[in-house]
Amino acid sequence: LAQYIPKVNIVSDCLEELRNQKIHNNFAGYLCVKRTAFRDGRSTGLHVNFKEFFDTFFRVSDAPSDKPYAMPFWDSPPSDANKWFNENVAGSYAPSSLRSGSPFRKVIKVEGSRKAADIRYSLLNGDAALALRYLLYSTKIPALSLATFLYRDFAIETDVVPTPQLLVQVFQEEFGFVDYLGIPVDDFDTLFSYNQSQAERTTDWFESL
Amino acid sequence: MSRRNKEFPKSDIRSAEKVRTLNAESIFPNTVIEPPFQPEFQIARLPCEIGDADTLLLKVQELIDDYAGVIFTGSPGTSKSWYAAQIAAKLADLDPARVRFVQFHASYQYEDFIEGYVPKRDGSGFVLVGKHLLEMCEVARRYPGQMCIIVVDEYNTPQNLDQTLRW
Repeated sequence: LAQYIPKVNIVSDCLEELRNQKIHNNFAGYLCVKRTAFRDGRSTGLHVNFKEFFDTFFRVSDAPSDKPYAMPFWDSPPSDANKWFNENVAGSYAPSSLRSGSPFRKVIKVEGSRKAADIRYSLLNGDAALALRYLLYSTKIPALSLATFLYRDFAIETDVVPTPQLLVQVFQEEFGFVDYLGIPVDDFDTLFSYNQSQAERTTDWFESL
Repeated sequence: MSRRNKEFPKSDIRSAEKVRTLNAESIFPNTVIEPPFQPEFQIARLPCEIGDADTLLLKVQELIDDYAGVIFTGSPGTSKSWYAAQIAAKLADLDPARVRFVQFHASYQYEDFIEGYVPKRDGSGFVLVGKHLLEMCEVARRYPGQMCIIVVDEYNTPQNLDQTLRW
């Protein structure tokens, strides 16, 4: 199988598109919890490893030493001040850091003490609709740009000319946004905007390794 | 393998590992990464952007003679912390020695704010030392007749606020 990666300028453009949308930066934590819920097959009492998630999807080389993660989600206009996210992501999502009434707590129930092993996260009923309202400010997020950013450093392995639809497929399969038949679940349509037919026609998204 | 370390589902069409790591300049073109801030000297004067006629400054000046402390309340993002720092700088004549900025957090306690035991450098035991409040009391003693200020940010976040401030 040949390996393909998104072109650098495409990744940069996708990141810029995300940065230009008003998104609460706790949406990253929500995605992390959703992925954990899909892995564990339940939506409550989750032990969530935020550091692993951020290291996998947000870490960038040559970033500021104390802020190693590129953060596409901000509720303020793009600027030099809101490109990076601090290293202590576990601390950022600890119960003591999340104020009561914060957007994150309106989507996810957080329980536990200061001890990391005791902290548990539970998706509230209707979490996707709540996330759309409180974390995305009622505007769906472009799935293709998000998937391109998240999987920018992974290769798509295929024998055919790849289209960016494959990136969205990977995202759906790994975050539980499709059913066992590969059909998007309601949560995907609630949270994301996506023109699949257009993505399937695009051929200049990747470069081969 | 424990549940905590269980592997995450992986799509069949992506590589198991990253095949590159894009750097900051690639994804943020024209970005200059500044090295970590390394202060080489103590600032001589506190920065201050408010004027002498600022309404909030005048209100605080009016209150502070009678009450010694002022609490700013309001919704998040309404510049309480910024104003507190600005007014503190103004009241202290922009002298950094007479202003202390402290940010409380959920586990902040008496030993952080007033006094607590810390290990001796030679490992021979512990010694009781003053923290922010007592340190600023000492500063005030050295600046008789001049205002010395502690700005407490996130004032209501300690779980044991009463104990944190009891002296």
